[in-house]
Parts: sequence; C-alpha cells; structure tokens
Amino acid sequence: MGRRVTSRARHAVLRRLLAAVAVLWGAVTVTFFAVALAGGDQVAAILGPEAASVPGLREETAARFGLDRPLLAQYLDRLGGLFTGDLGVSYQRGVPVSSLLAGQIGPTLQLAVSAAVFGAVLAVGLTVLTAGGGRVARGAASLLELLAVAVPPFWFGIALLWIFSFTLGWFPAFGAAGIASLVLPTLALALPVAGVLAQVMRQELDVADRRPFALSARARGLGPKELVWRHTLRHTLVPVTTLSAWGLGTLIGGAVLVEKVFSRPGVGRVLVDAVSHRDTAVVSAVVVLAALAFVVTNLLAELLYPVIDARLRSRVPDAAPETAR
Amino acid sequence: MSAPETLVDRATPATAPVAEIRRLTIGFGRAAPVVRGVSLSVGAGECVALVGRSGSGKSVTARSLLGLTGRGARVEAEVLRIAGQDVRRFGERRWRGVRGSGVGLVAQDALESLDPLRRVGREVAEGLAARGEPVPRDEREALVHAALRRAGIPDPEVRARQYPHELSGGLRQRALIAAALAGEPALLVADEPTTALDVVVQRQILALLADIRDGGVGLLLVSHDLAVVSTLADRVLVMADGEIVESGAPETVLTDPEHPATCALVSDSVGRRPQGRTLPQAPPVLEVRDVSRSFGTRRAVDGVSLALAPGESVGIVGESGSGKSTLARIALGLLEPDSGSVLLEGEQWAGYPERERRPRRSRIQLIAQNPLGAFDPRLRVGAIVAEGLRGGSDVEALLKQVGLAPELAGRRPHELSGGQRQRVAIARALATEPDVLVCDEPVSALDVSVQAQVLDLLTRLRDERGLALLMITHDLGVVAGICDRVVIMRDGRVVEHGPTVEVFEAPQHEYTRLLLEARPSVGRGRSRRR
Amino acid sequence: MTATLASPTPVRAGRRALRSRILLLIAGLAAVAAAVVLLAPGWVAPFPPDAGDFANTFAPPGGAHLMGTDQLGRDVWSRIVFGARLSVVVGLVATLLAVGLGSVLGLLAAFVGGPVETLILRIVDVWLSFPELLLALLVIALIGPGPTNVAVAIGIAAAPYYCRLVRAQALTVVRSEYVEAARVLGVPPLRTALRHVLPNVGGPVVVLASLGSGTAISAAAGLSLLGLGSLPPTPEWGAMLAEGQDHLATAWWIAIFPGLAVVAVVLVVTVLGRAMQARSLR
Repeated sequence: MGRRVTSRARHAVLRRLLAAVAVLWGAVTVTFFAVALAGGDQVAAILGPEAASVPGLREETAARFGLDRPLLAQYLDRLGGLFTGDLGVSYQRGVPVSSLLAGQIGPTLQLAVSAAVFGAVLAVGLTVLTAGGGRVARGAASLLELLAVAVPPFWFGIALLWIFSFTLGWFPAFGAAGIASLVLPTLALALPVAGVLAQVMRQELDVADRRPFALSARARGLGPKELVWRHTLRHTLVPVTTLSAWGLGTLIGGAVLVEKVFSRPGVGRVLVDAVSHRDTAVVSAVVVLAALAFVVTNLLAELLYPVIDARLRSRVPDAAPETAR
Repeated sequence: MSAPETLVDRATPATAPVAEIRRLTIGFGRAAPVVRGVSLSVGAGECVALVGRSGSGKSVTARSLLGLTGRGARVEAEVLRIAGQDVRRFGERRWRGVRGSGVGLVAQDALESLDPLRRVGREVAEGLAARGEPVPRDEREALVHAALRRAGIPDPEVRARQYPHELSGGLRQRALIAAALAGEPALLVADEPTTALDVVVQRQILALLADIRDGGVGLLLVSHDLAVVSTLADRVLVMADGEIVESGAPETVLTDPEHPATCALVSDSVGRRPQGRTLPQAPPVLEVRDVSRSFGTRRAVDGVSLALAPGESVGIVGESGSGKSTLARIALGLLEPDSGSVLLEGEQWAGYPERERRPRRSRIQLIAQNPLGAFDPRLRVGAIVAEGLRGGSDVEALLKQVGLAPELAGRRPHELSGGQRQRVAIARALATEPDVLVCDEPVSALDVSVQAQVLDLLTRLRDERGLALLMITHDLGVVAGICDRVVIMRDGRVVEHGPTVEVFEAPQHEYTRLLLEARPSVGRGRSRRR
Repeated sequence: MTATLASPTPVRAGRRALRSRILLLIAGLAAVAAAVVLLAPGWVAPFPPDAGDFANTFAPPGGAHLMGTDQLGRDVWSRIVFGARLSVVVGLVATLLAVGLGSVLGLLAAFVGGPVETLILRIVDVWLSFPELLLALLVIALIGPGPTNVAVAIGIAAAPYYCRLVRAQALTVVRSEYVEAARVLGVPPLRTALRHVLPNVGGPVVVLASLGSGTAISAAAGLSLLGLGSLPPTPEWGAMLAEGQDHLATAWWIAIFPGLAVVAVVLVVTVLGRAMQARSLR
C-alpha cells in the first residue's frame, strides 16, 4: 500500500491554489480601490496643496504618474504590473517602488527570519521543557507567556535598548551591521509571537495529555518526555500551523515598529516615511506584498494539515473497513 | 474486615498469582478514601471481574495495578504485587519498568485510546519496547504483524500502516488489545473494554479476551455490565462504596445474590420481561402515514406508517442508520417528510406552517440522548425547566415529580450527573403538559443502574399522566421493560412490528432474531476451552 | 461510566474560589483606578501636564517628581495620568468600532446567507490577509494622522476578526440543540433570539473584545510612537515614548515609565479577559 496521490487530493490542492490566487487578487483590488476612492486627491498629495493649484503643473504631474487615465485602465495596469514586477512609482521620491523596496528589504528580511526562528525555538523549548513538570514550572511558564503577550514589542525594545545598549553597552544601539545589532531587535520582535505560540502549544498539550490515548500510552510504560515527543507534540502542530500565517503578519507589522525603535534600516522606515507623506503608491505596494506573503504561508499551512493529521486526508483506504469484525 | 480476605484465597493455590492485593486503600486529598480495604488476587489464565456501579471504586482499584491512579492519590496496601514484584513503594521510573511488560491496560473506546495521528502499527510497536531488550528494527515489523494477527486482525501488513479512524470499531479494539499485549504482560487489566461497541462486535471481542485468558494471561475485567462479565469471568467481585461486598463464581453471585448492592446490580442488568397491558380503545394521538424522507440519494425513511394510541408506548428499534432518529424528528415536526403525512391528535401536523402549528407544540415533547447539548449552557436548572411552563405547575413541583431535590434548581447542568440531567430534561418536557413524549435514545449514554431508574420514572409518569411514549432505541432491553408494542426498523423500512411480548417470544423476521440473539445475558454460561 | 479519577477535590475547588476572589479584587481596583484617572486626573496628578519647569529639566525619579521630569521640566507621572484618558479611550473606541462593524457583517453573513454571505466571507478573507498594523498604516495614509484617525484605523484593522467570530458563533448557536429544544417547546422565535441566541453569541464577543482592547491600546501607542497619532506636546503615552526615545541614554525615565503604563493597562485588561474566558468555558 503506497502513498497514492489520488485525483481527489490533486483536486483539493488545485482548489486551494485557486482560492489563494483569488484572495491575492482581492487584496490588490481592494487596496487599489480604497486608495482611489478614499485617498483624496492624489495629485495634491504628491505636490502639496500650494503646488497643486499651479496651472499646468497639475496636468503634468498627473500624466507623469499615470493618474490622468481612466480608473479601470489604471487598475488593469496595476494588475499587470504584478506579473512584471512593476509596483508603480513613489509619489514622494519619484523612483520606482520596486527598486526602492528592493534596496531596503534585506535588513527587514534578516530581522523577520531570525525573529521567526528564535520565536519558534523559544516557544517549543519552553513548552517541551515544562511539559509534565510540576505546578511551579508550569505556573512560571504561564506567567512568562502572559507577559510576552501583554508587553508591547516596541516598549520591550526600548527597555532592552536602555538596559543592554546604553547602560551595559553590550550591543549597538542602532544600525544593521553584523549579528550584534540583530540580537536585541530579534528579541523584541519575537516576543509576542513566541508568547502566543507557547500559550497555544501548552493548551493543546494539556488537552492531549488528558485524552484517553495518553493514558494508554502511559500504560505501555512511556515516561512524560517520551509521551510529549512521540505523541502529544504532534497534536500541537495543528493549531500552530493554523497560526503560522497570522504569526508572519504580526512579525511583518512588528518589524515596522522595531525598526523605528532600533533605528534599523529597512522597509519599516520607508513605510512610515511614506505614510506620513501620504505616498499611497509605496504604502499600497508594501501592503500587497505583505498580503502575498500571508497568502503563500496560508496555502502552505493548508497543504500541511493532511500531512499532520491523517484524518484529514481524502485518500480512499485500500481495504474497506468491515463492520462485523 | 475479615470477610473479604478469606474470599481471596480461592485462587488456584498451585501457581503464584500474577496480581495480589491485600487491604488496598486509596484516597484523594483530605476526602474520604474511595477504595477501602480491598483485597483480591488474579492467577495466570484466570479472569477476575470487578463489578459495581460507577463511583464504587472499581476503576481506581484496577488502575492502582498500573500505578495510574491519578495525581494526588494516596495509595496504601498491605500487599500489592504484580508478577511477583512488590510495587508499593515504586516511584514513576520503576513503575515504567512494570507497565507494559508486567501489566497491560485495555481501555474502552479504542477511537479515543489510540493516538489518531499515528499509525496503528507504531502504537503496537510502542508496546513492544516495553519488553526490556531493544528489538532490532527489521524484526520489529514482523513482531507487530504477529501481534496484530494474534488479536484476530486479518491482513495485518495492511492494517499496521493504517490510522485508527480507518479501522472499524471492532478492529480498533483488537488493535488496542494487541498493543497492550505486545509487551507480553502477565496481567491484563480491561476497563470496560466493550462498552462503546455494537452488540454483535461486543461478542467477538469477548471471545478474543477469553482466548487471551486461556493462553495464560491473568485478566482483571472491570465492568458495570453483568451480562458481559458472566460470559468471561471465573470469579466475580462486587464493589460498592469502595469495598468488596460479595464475591464468588458468576453462576452463584449473579443468580443468587446476597448483598443488597449485588441484588440491585443484578436486577438492573437482567433486564425486564415484557408485559402486556390492555389499553382502552381510543383514536390515535399520533399517526404517521406512509412517510418517506431522503437526504440526497440516501433514503433515510421509506414508507413508514405507525399509530400511537393515547397512553400507549411504542418502541422503535434499529441499529444506527436504520432511520429511527429521522422518523422521530419527522414526528416532532422538526423535519418535513418528502411524502406521506403526520397527524397529531387528528389534525395535520407535518407540512403545516410553523406559526400556526406552534401553539400545538405543547402536545408533543422530546427527550434527547444528550441533555447537556439540549440545555442552554448559560442557564441554570430552574430556568431551563421553566422555559416550557405555561402557568399551572411550578418549577419546584416539576422537579419533585421527577425525583429531584428542589435545591437543584440553582445549579448548572454540568454540575449534575447524567441521570440527574435526564430527569431535568424530563421535567422540562412535562412542563407543557404534553400528550406524547418522544424519547430518542434517552438512556443509552447512562450507566446500567441509572438507566433503570430513568426508565422507572418514565413508566411511572406514563401511568400517572396517561402519556403516550415513542421510544427510539437500539437496545431491546429498554424496549422490553417499557413498551407495549415494538417496531423494528432497518434501512429506513419497518421489518417487523407487533406487541412486545409476541415479537420477543416469536420473532418473524430474521433481522429481529439476529438482534434478539446478540444481546449478552446473565447466566448464559461462560466460554471456556478445556 | 468509569469512576472519575480527577474529580475536583475540596482542595482544588478551594483554590479556584481563591483565584476568582483575587480576580474580583483586581477587577474592582482596576475599575476604581480607571474611574479616578479618567474622570478626575487632578486628584492623583500633582502637576498639570504641560507645566514646564525649566529649572528642573531631566530630574531623575524621586522627591517631588515620582517619575522624574522630562526635557521641558514637566512631571512625568502627571503626564502619564493625564495621558491615560487619551491613550485608553482611543483603544476602547477602536475596539467598539471593530466590534460594531464586525458584528454587523457577521450577523448579515450568518442570517442572510446565500451570495451575501459568500461575498462577505471573501472580503473578510482578503481583509485578514493584511497584517493588522500595516492595514492601519494604509488607512492612516488615506485619511491622515491624528488620534481620532488612529482609532478609526485600528478599528478597521481589527474588525474582520470579530466578523468571523460573530458569524461562527451565530451559526453554531442557531443550529444548536438547545435552540432546537426551544423550538420544540413552542417558544416564539423572537424570544428565542433574545433569550438564547444573543447571550450565547455575545458572550464570546465580549471576551474577545476585552482581550482585543488591550491590543488596541498598545497599537494606538505604537502608532503615536511612529508619529502618526497624537503628537507632542500631547501627553499621550505613545507620544511620550517618541519624545523619550531621544533621551534614552541620559534620561531613561521619560520613555520607560509611559511604556510601563501601557504594559500595566494591557496586563490588567488581558488578565480580566482571560478570567472571563475561563469562566465562560466552565
């Protein structure tokens, strides 16, 4: 009996892929029309109110940024641009958005990835270490998780800066040079996500621990650590997978704040700048990219579920279950 | 308490017992001990059954042989030996050495007792590890297949790679047994091993357990169902309130009980004899005429007709998928039939617009299988019961009628026991002063002894108020005690119907015969290979 | 069926009662503190929030100034007290907006069903694909900065979570056995809706809102820190953080204490929200 990928399974994957594309399309569309309808006078935002009243300048600027064309044409342009990598031109700086972001995305990616890894390791480590431990250990862990969730990452970053940079001088206070400058921002960014993950895992672990199969496993001589590794940890993977896309979104959002606090170069700085200057071209491009990341992560998560939980596989069993044995 | 001790020594004196307990006491926290001075022993190739109502302490006693009595338990005993080892002072680590290799556990409901995310073969292999010497990988698979085969699973190579939900209930239970035996324990503790199973499958699992016992394993069987026990046990120990109150061979204990607790258990389990009643002739209070209903391509109910006279109780019996629940919902007006009609007290019921039908809803009420789901989780008992009130009786009076203390009105449903919750559901249904009570598996989720109490209550209410009962169930024992007529359903159709006495004594249809025969009964005799 | 092994022992029940009493105390204290700070800040704050004392700038915590003074000599503690109103109210308003918007859409989806439901669900899917903070930033880019706009932005960003919850709860409750039981008992639909549906749908929403208001308060402070919310010299906590960041090396108290205030509020709100959640699950 091999692992056949039935046509039903392939069908399911295709369906999810189409759904993901649909969501992405929706994200682009919603962003575009939100900007078009609620963003006010785009030309005035680019030029500033006084310059916008100068005759001739208005039309010239509109033509330059393609804002004089009918809305539908602009929309189709935007859609098409996604395939070619053209994300429009920054209103504030006049440079293509894609090159603007490409230059800044490195440090942000560095930060996000290290925070993701660190957060995951921290959450898993904390849960596994305290699994089956006494009430004190678990109470302490719950408290840590509560704090992790309640403490805003930007303030935590400030506190870390104060203690470890300015007072103790262990780490640099700004910039993105080398690993040392990555430590504190990673800690600050990873905190809330690690807290939520740890909470969810612990809860799921507790639930699984009380289920009858855990008793049967213990009756076969399994100790608490073995029980976690072989059985209950797998059960925590389902809610964790569900949270992965949300976690990614939180990391991206949090990166903006952390970069500000630690004066790190990156997309965050560009974004905040763009928001204060009403540069909707840059802002909507970043938002759409974030949506893309979310959609891709979500898709991967959905494809991962049947791998974790066999009950969700649509595979037809080879031997039909007999009812009377 | 010397009496229980002497009873222990009836074990076969030649071989040392695989499990020996003397004066076991178990308590939690500062509360009174739940097990007091229990003594028993199990020999190799012997089956000892621990029976009692829930709360009697039988499960806790059994679990003490695995060291799994739960957190915060104080376990004390004069003797507590498993396969010759004194386990009284064992810490977790030493217990792990005994579990699986000295003693194994088979719990009820294999769907919950096997890890749903792991393949069946891996679960069995885990049991192998308990043997002590590590098993080389290539041998492991063969041993797993052998274990599955011994438990009566055909095609073990295929089954080992499957997940628990892909196996039928019977196969799953066999797999669970295989996993428990993989470590080759001398003692097997089986805690309600057949409760979640269909009657027919139950018989097969009991046969398997008998084989295992005959193979030399000591079997400690814990159950509340005496009929199950009598097919398997060599000795029966009856527990009540944490003590052993009676013991002996099943034939003696179960046919000639002495202690009141045993008498109660026996009378609950034996089941009732169907009695014939004569009822005055009257136009039917509920009439179902040629009703059919499909869901997609599946015909759930196919041309079923029945009539319920006032004060009459009719049982609808069938296995799951027979359409009996769908029929009940149609009778209640919760589901519309595709064809046919339903008349309530002579007036059109099915297909009638809800707004005009609503005032008549008080005439027909429902008792569901799981009352907890049918109660608003935010309400207390008093508010739940009062929902149906139209003036007339009050909540206190209703609670008293169903045998509940009026103080319970302030409690929340989840604080009550299963039997109490069902009584609350009955009280709520009675509040509208109905003429018909539809009971959809009202007692199948309850303990055998509680079942009897609830059925008694229903019988009494029926007689006092002239209620007509439509009893949906898969359990013929329930039907026997309370129903005047019985209707047997299968695949949406009625295969047989008639007065209960007649159908039970002279079943016409083959399916009816199959159902009647599959019931385990007390005193039928044990299977034993000589 | 089998004897319950982990039946609540008297010890465990006692511990639970103690815990709920402590929580009640916390809730009470929090309510009192909130009332005082929000309605009569002058009682607790010794100095007006914008009273600069140029002779006393950068005073470390201690003495007359419990939490020190900032670069203009203003008392940090008093600014925190007066700023509470703004910081907390922005978060609460944002949450109310999110709950309102989300509930309306969720109920529409659940009860109207059909193509309306599908449309709403698709829109929510897209809505949720944007990280909350980024979506808030987009809204600010469209409507401009300022505390009111921050409340609107955060509210819009958080709404889809409530929409999903309300729809799911509404569907579960409407299809539940107890609503069906009410139907069997002949209870008219309006009474069922008011008595059963509304409380059971509203319960989890209230719990999520209490947890969410903590996040909202935190997010509002964050947006102010980025310079998009309240601006200095307003004594809003996020704005104070922004100001204080420049002086972190020399006068840490200007930034650390306002941040602690945010932490404290979010902690209290989260603990109470969790307690409500635990209680409703029991």
